[in-house]
Amino acid sequence: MLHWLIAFGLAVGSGVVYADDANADDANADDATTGDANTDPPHRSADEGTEIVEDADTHWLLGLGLLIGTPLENDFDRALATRAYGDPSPTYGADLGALYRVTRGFSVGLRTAVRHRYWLHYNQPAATLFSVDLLANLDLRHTFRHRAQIGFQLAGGFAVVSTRLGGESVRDLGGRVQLGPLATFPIVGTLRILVRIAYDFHRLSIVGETADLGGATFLLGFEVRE
Amino acid sequence: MMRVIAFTLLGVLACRELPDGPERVFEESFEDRCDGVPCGWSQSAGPDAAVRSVETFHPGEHGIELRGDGTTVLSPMGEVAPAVLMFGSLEANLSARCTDASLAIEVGLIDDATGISDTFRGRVSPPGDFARSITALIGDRALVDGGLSGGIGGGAFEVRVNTVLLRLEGDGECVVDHLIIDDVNASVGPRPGPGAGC
Repeated sequence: MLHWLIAFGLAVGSGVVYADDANADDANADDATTGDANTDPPHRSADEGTEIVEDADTHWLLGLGLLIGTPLENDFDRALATRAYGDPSPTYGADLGALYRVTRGFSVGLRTAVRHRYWLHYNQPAATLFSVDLLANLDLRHTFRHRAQIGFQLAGGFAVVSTRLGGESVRDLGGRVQLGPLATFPIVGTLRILVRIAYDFHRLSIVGETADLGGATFLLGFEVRE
Repeated sequence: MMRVIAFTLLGVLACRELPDGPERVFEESFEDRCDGVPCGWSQSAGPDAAVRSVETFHPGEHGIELRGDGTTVLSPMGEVAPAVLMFGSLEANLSARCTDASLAIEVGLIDDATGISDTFRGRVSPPGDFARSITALIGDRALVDGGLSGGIGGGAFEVRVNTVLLRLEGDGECVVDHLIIDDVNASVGPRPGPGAGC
């Protein structure tokens, strides 16, 4: 899964570079045709997406991404290991967010995510963990060269965590805090690539065992501005 | 072209087959229940109903509970498995908890090819909360005539578990929710799961 995410990221990243090059080529061609390279202000772009990014009336940022995370070793993993379960899988999940842009570089909103992790067993069904998060989100960004955005997100909320072993499920509730840098890059129109590297603090008690479900996560997705 | 090669390599890595691990000499997770006790296990000593299947740390995880001094249970017969018996010893690896009691463990092995058998014995005192406990099991005949292991040098054998016996020593109780019998230093770490890696 990690390999596919990396490959997907590389492929999409290559596409972004090609799109930028194409725009630059178009601009050069226009300049050559008109013979006036300084007609437009240097900070303006003809790209519709860039106009919307810089438009003060554009308030909503809608994001959707796939994430993968590295598990932290914890008591719950050790409890499973003594019962012949294997090492935990990476955390796989999806993240959906709606942010309201208060000012040009500051947004607030809500995010929800689903996450999945499993532990294989030699002769029993795998133990699984499935969680649903709801997080309040603060988002700070700076736009570079009117295209790429680099920022930082801080989110906090709670997660409902369901663990399933031997056909029986147990639900537990825990707090979750996440912070980390993010970046967005334009693809076409108002669609942008969203990349976020975050660290989660997410410790809770699962059937009496301390489970630290936090750790580093990498998200790759898309963001639309409306 | 490079991108095609990269995708192909990533696909091969993501979908590679995981190797199968070695067979355990004996492993029991006590998950299947028959008439209130783990399937195939039978009480051979102790007060009535002193052995039962119980939930352990999760409703989907079960173990075997023994109550009362001298209460004894016997396992079903195991499959034939390869074993390397060095110095006439095995080890038992348990996820267990005990209150005011300890567990004696006896494992009867028979070499299917030669018919030679031996009994390996040990004792373990797990803590009050579930934890992994490991103890050596020493063969009865190893120091007399070599027994199943062939003496000090040991060797590799195809063995079958005749039975595994758990006996409570003390007036308290013990719960075992996983038991592995294997070669010395071979019982820690689960075997890889089945199936492909993608």
